Amino acid sequence: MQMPADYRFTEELPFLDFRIRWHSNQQLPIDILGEQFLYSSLSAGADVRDSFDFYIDIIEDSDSDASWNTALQHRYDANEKLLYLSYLDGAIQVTVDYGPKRVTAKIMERALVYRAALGNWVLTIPLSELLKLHGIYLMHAACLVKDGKGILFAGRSGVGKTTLAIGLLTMGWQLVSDDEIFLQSNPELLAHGGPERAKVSWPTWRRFSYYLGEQDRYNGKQIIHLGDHFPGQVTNRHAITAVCFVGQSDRVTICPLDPMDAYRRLLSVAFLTSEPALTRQNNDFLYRFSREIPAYRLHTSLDFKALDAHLAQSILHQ
Amino acid sequence: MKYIHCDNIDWKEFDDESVLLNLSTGYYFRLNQVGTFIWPLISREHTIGGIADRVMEKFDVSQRQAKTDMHDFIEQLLAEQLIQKA
Repeated sequence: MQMPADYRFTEELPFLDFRIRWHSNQQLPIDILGEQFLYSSLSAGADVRDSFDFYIDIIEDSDSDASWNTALQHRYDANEKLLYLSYLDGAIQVTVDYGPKRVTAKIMERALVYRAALGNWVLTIPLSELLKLHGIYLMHAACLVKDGKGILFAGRSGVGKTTLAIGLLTMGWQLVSDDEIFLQSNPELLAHGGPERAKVSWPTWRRFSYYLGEQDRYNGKQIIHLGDHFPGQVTNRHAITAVCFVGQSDRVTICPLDPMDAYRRLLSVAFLTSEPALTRQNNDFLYRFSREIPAYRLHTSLDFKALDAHLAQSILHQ
Repeated sequence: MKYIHCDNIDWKEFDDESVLLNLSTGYYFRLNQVGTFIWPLISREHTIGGIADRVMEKFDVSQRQAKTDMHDFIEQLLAEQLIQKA
């Protein structure tokens, strides 16, 4: 792959036991990614297990009137062994090269307005592909801990994972992540918080303004570190003892799921298709997960006291 | 007639049921008890007629019913590019 020469701006940051090296032709994307993300080194003094290079190329453009489709398009090229990701109708194009463990992102300048989503597209998803090489898998789930038990709350975007996470924080739970976690068998199932900070919508902010602080109404999402608002209640990782698949309802119900049902639901919240051997490995992991970790269907209202009580009765104290 | 599994298909079994995952597309397909019995038999070693006979014995259905169900199942697997002619 031909690499443009002008990557004058660089930064090196740790995530888990890995090193991420940013290279860009502008400082701005590195600043945006830096302000949004929590780069946490898992083990103090541990050896770096691997390094990943991210090359970001900001491309000037003049068309500012375009409206974009934010859906992800992706394609794995088996001949080149490259994964192509495309967002905003091609305004952001990302390539993952598994051999040299390198990510290249070409970003039209006007696409930088998508600050809250940029990190997911340019960092989290490509990073998750490279972490598969080390048996670490991304999942769309919040992770919270109480009484020493870690529970995953899995669900698609918009189901209310961040609201649920903040609601349980107000009930004294500890937070690993409100949205995305990296899972690893170690040999127990361990969840690491993803690198992104919480993205909070206005209705959720208003609901929890007592904890988050007063704020004028806003559109889109505010990016915050929940640890600033719930000091001492945020942790980097925890072992997992159960998974709940979240849906909305006007009351709280929790029902056990059989492994088959759990597996099919896990497939829908995991990021699966890329290099086929890695996808097979990821699928093996989800299969083991579904057979070893108790799974539940959780329908919940915004009554977090009731949710806390139901979780205690049905899962934590089982 | 014989068929084989396509490349990049992963099969996971749960008691009497199973799931086929197409590793290239991410699409997955749930197989019921009969489909789960048939899937591992689809290979160069077994003809479709031979598999239908085994379905007839295992699930106590008529030969006609077994052949009809087998035909429908094979058509579906072909359409989803999960199997191909051997």
